[in-house]
Amino acid sequence: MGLRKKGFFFTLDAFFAVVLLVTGMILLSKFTFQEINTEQIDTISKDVLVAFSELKVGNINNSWIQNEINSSSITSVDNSILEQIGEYWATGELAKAEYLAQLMSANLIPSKYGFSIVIDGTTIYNRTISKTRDLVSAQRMVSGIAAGSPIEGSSSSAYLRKIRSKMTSSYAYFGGFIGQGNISVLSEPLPIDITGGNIFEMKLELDVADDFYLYINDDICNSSNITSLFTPSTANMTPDIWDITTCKSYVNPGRNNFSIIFQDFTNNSYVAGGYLKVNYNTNETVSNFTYGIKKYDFPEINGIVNLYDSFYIPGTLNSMKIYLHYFFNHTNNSEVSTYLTIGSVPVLNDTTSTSEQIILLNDSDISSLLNYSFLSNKTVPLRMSSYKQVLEEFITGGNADVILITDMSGSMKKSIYDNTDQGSAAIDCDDLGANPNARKTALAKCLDKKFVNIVMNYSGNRVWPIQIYNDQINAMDAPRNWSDASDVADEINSYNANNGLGKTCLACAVNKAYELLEQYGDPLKQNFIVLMTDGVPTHCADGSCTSNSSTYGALECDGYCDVPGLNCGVPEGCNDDSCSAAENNTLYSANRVINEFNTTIYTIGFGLISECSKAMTLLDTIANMTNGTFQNSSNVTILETIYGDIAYDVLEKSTQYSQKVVINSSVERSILYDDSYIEFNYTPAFADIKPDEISVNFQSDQFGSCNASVNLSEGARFFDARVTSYSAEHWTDLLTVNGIVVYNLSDYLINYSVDYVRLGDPYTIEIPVDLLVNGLNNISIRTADSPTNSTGCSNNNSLIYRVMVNYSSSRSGVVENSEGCDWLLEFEDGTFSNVSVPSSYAGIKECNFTNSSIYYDSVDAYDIAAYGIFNALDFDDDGRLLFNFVSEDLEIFVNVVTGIPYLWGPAIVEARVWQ
Amino acid sequence: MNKQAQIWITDFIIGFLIFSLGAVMSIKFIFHMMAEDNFAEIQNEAQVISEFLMSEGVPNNWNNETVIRLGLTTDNILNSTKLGYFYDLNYSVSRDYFNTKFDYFVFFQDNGTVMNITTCGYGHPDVQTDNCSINISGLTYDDFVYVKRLVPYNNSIIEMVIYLWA
Repeated sequence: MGLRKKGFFFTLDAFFAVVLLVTGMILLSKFTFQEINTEQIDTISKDVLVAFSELKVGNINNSWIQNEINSSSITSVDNSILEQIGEYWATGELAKAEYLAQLMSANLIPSKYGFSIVIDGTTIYNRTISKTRDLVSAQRMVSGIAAGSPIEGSSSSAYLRKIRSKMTSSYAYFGGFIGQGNISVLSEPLPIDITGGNIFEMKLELDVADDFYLYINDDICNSSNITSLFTPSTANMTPDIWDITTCKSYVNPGRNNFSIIFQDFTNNSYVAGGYLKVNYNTNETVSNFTYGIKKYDFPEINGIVNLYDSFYIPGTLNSMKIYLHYFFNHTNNSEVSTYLTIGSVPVLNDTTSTSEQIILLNDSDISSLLNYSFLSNKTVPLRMSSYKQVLEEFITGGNADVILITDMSGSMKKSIYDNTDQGSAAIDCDDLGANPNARKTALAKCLDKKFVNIVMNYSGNRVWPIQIYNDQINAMDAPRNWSDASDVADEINSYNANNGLGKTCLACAVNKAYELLEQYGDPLKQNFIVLMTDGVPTHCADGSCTSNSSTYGALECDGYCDVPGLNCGVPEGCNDDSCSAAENNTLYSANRVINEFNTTIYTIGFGLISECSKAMTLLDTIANMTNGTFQNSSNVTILETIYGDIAYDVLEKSTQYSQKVVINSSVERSILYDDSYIEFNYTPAFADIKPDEISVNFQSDQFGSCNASVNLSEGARFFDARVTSYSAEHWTDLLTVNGIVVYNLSDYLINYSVDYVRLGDPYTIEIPVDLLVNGLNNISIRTADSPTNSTGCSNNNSLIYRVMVNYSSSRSGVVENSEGCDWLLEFEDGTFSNVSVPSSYAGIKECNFTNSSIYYDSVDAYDIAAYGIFNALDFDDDGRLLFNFVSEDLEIFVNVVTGIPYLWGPAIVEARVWQ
Repeated sequence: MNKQAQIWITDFIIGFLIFSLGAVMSIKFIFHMMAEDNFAEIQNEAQVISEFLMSEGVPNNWNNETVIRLGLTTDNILNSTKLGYFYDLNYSVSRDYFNTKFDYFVFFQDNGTVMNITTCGYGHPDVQTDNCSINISGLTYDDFVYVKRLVPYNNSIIEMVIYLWA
């Protein structure tokens, strides 16, 4: 019984287990092997956008769409569905956009799917479903759909271009100083299409000192007044300008030879700077220019080679070679050499050749002589000479204003070396050594005259004598003229050689010197004061001891006694402080005249001043305030030497040398041929012209002085710049731009040279463009014969510079019209011009871009583009354009695209489908 | 002894039944898995064929002499000329161009109505198209996929339906 029950239960368990297992398997199968949805949604969104993009609304057979077309709500039947939806969106008709999207998609996309159309984040149409999963999106870019803007219009961009026959110039430079004899220079290459017909102007601007003939390629040229002889009419440092357009038929393509043939071979057979300019039209758009290689061409000189010039290295100098072709017969004179210096370094010194020479100096020859690093980025002076050297210094005159102060006070009526004796007043000025016991007044008078004779031996020097006498400052007065040596001598002759009188106010005398320099001085001259006294000052100037007066003030001390021939003992103030107020007044006045007039003061202790320590200290202090000297003696001969030394020192500091040499019948001729050149390879310091830039040349007004402020265009990129300097027969020795020294000829002085005779002289000095600023630039230029001997400058100097202008404007937005306008333009030079944009515009609409008004049609594509380019060229936003289109031969080219169906873009249209 | 034999026989029968049931279920499960793999392949193939047909084909102005790859549109619009060329192809040849081992049928419908563009559809001959009513009841298949694509035609947007099965 027990076994039977066990078998029953076992079978029943198995049965239930099978039922459960089968049930589980069925359920598992049911959930695991769910039927897969066979439809795909990932292509629907893409297909919708493609289809909407292809179907034209005009072809769709739908009454609502037809009504929209008939009512002109749909402006173009060629719009695709997508464009039309966008157009509705652009014009703010979102309901229509939604309806159209719904209309076109309703039967395409099963209702079980969600669907939406979105433009730039704005949902145009949205059909939702309860579930959101498996969202698939497709996007398409549609350009220029803008809400609220016109549907179709024009877009424009503008740029400047040189017109087909562009106007440009070529130059031939006569740089620095080219002499002496007949001169030829080669021009820059002219285009191959050049003829007399397309040359419209030729100008010759030269600083030349003598009559000459001009030959162009061996044809003689008549000036505009139909004479073949060119006669300069202006003074040194001022160029003459001749219009030689009548000679244009002589000009050929390529390089042209321009020759200055002087009527006579004289000291003045030279050119001291200038150029010949040819203005022409050409179809050649690109000039031959090798970036990184530059060449300096020597002029041809037939006479005596006496060349002062320069060349510019616009970057880091890498290598150089020199080709020289010249002739000079060195046989007859050992003092003659042909030399070439670059900077300060002689690279050629020929003392032996007797025939025509061709010398090639390679980089290996030159690099060991020159400091390439020093020469890089600089205007480098160049000097070539081939004549008898002893002839070369040609002193043209002096440049000194000297105030000669002579103490003729009471103490001066004593012997030069004995205070107990009056000495002799009857002395022979021509034989001072014979009068050791000379009275100081008489000796001073003689020495003053000797001084004046030396200094005024060079024309241009001026001496103004001042006498301290009888408690007064007596200065030479009209009608005597301080530039007339005889007048000055007469003034000194009027001094009382026998008798001194009164006390000493040195401050008054120095203040008088100040007054004279202020009233009669010349800022271009060098100022000197020679201050002689025999003791301490006794008076302050009137008013106070810091007075600027030249009138005696209060007595501070007695100083030397004013008693003839008696020993008064130790003078008051010599070894005590009783005269210190007057001494301080003297120092104050000296300091004032030094600071104001850059005056050099020489002081002389006259007689037994060595016994007066206070006077010694005062005079030494004054001299040390400048680069003058203090010397003293009671010896007549030594004093004569002292006066002579001072006179010659003044001359050395102020004598003007000339670059020209004396021509006489014994001068042996030399020739420099124009195939000579210097070629150098360099790494440019500044970027080349960029593809989207156009260069425009500018020349400033003439400076009119040595210190000029030049206003340069705001926003322009400077490409190169140079200052012209008419230095005549002197040297351009200093150029500063905005306080930075660009060129300093004294940098090239070596071996303690004191003048520039062996250095070159530039006509143009290049300015590194990174020193220029937009706006005002302070330019200071100086000519000189030595570092201490300025000769002023020419008023005719100017700045020539080139700027790069980005010539294109960005494309405008889409606007309704594209007609154009007649523009009135104002330029920075103050001129006005009418320009039609486009050039074919013949309508009546007027637009302005001037300082007083700017207006144009803001919905005209041409006007917008033109305004864009004008605005870009108005760097300082003053309504004036940087340059004149007409003179620069530039044309505004406007590129207009009309019928643009979309106004801006791109906009993203997105179709979303989800399930 | 008799009792023991009776119990063994009953256990054997029940055990055998359970085993047989498990075996049948396992076999069915395995075959079902295999069928799913086949389905994914058909699904991908349908996508590829639909892309072919939505394209211009190669060359873009192909005909039955020049065709390299089939495509039915020009500038994204259904081209009835190309459609005619397609219909003219032998069915098995067209499968070669699609490089598919599966059977297919293509037809177009507008708003749910099968369109008669030369014919009501093209593909496997067992698909009945009487009166442009697509009837696939005569087909035997294990897996069946259909893909719908939207394509502009004759100034409206219609559906291109592709059946693919194995």
